[in-house]
Amino acid sequence: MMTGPERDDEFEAYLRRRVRIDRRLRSLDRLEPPAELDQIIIGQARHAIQGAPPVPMFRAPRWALPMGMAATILISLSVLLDLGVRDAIRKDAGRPAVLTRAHSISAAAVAAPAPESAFPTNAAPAAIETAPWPPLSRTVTIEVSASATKAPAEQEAASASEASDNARSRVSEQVLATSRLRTGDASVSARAEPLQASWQAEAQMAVVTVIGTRIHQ
Amino acid sequence: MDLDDGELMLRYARGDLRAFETLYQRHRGGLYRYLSRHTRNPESANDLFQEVWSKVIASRERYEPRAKFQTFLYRIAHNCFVDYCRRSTVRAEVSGDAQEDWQGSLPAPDDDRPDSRAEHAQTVARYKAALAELPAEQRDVFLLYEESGLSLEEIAAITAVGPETAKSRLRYAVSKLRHALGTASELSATRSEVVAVTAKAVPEGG
Repeated sequence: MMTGPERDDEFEAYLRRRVRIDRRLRSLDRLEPPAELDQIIIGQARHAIQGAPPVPMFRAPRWALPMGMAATILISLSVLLDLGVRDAIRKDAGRPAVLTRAHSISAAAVAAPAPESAFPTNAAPAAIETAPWPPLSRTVTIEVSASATKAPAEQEAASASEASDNARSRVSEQVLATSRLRTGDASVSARAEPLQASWQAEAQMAVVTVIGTRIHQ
Repeated sequence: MDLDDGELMLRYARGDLRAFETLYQRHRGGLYRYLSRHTRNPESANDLFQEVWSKVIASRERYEPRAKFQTFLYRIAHNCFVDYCRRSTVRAEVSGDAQEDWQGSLPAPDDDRPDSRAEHAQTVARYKAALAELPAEQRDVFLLYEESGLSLEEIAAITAVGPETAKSRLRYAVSKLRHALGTASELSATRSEVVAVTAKAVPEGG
């Protein structure tokens, strides 16, 4: 049988209606992809816009940062204190002779307080100017920072040092009094007071040094 | 508010999965039928269907709504099918097993009576046979017209021919299919009448 082109009117009607070529084939419209295929394609679409799942990265615990900073600060402080203590020890090592001389002066003053006539009238100011205040040793600084937790040996040393210190104070007071009486020069006390102030400052520095040493130990 | 397909595609390109799902729901049936009737093999249709959507997904960032989304979608499908034919011409065009698979996947008719079911099966079989006999170009134009909802001009653009050529191909395809279905209907009706007359005649003769 010959099957030529459709008649124009029938074909144009088919184009206008936009329906199936045959009503009996309407059931073909129900042909659809399987549900599994739908899931695969939707999954592909999701994966494409979301990208690969993120790779789990190592995360340090929350306390690590403050802990690390605290440890760094502690180590830095201890190193600085260590350097300071070594420096102080090095400086102290160069002063034993002066310390010995100062102690001998104090001991002499305690044992036999000199009569007023022993001091020449014009020699007192010179003695004050030339005789230096005893430099601070570690023993002295321990005494200054005296606490209840001192070891027996340290307490003993501290008491000895205290005695010598008292003697030294007495000597300086006697010297000052004699100077005032003999010379009537008020400038002597004026010269002595700064020396006492510097001695106290030096003692405070030594306290800090000893505390640093203890921490280091 | 129903968004335009092109707008949905652009939204998907910006990361909106809902837009893609809407787009997919709109076009999944037509595209699947287009590929199923071309390949006449469910497995091949499934593979091609997935391939087409994969290409749509991959090209989301290059997509520009200069033409209808259907044109974009069915152009991809057309090209995929052409490649498929090149890869497996014999299996796609000739395999009898594939045709059996395709027929087995067809849905049942609306009317569930046994005689209706049989008639529907016959109709589908004739349709399938007539479709298979069409030249590939005519079949392609016919399936694009029936399943995609595109105009003849758009189909012409997809198949890279002029609009008149596309229209001519469609006209021949429709004519052959109608003839095949109409002829078969007439033959079926004639056979039914013969059976009815015979049934009447037998009791009278007995």
